[in-house]
Amino acid sequence: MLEKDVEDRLKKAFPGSDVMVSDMTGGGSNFEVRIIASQFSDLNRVKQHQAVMKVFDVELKSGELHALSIKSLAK
Amino acid sequence: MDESTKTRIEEILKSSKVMLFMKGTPSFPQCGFSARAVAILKELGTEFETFNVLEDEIIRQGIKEFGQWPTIPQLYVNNELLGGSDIMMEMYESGELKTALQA
Repeated sequence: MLEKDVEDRLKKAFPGSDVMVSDMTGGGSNFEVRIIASQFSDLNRVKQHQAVMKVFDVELKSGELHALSIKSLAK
Repeated sequence: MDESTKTRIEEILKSSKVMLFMKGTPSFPQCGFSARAVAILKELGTEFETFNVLEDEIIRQGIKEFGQWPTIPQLYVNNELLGGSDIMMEMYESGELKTALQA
């Protein structure tokens, strides 16, 4: 996947969120994601990470995405 | 996930207060994130058990469904999912992990 794809998918899933994505290895399978979203305000950390990973459920299951390193904050 | 897998996972979780599902073993981690998770637990001097998901495909997929967490490693404390290596790192840096492990 490309950084842009990951970013667009997150912005669509969490409208109004601030998203920063960087490809950790350049191979399109390990991404670092920083996201600040108002939708996280009543979610604890585990739930926030689960919500972010859910957006890429298919790619994580297929192995196209190997790892998502997530830093999430509620706006 | 069938009943027998669910029961097996519950048995694994009961076998240790702190259970890390990882790729490889503490001495031979097979993935950077799993290695980091082990290093954090060792740094805190915690007693912990690990389960090498590379040796059991059924548990490898089952644990992802069990806790609704699609990646490995995963840390369970007192049968509760604490999170992956990111959350472990964040909690380690804030001191929350030490407290959670002593609970």
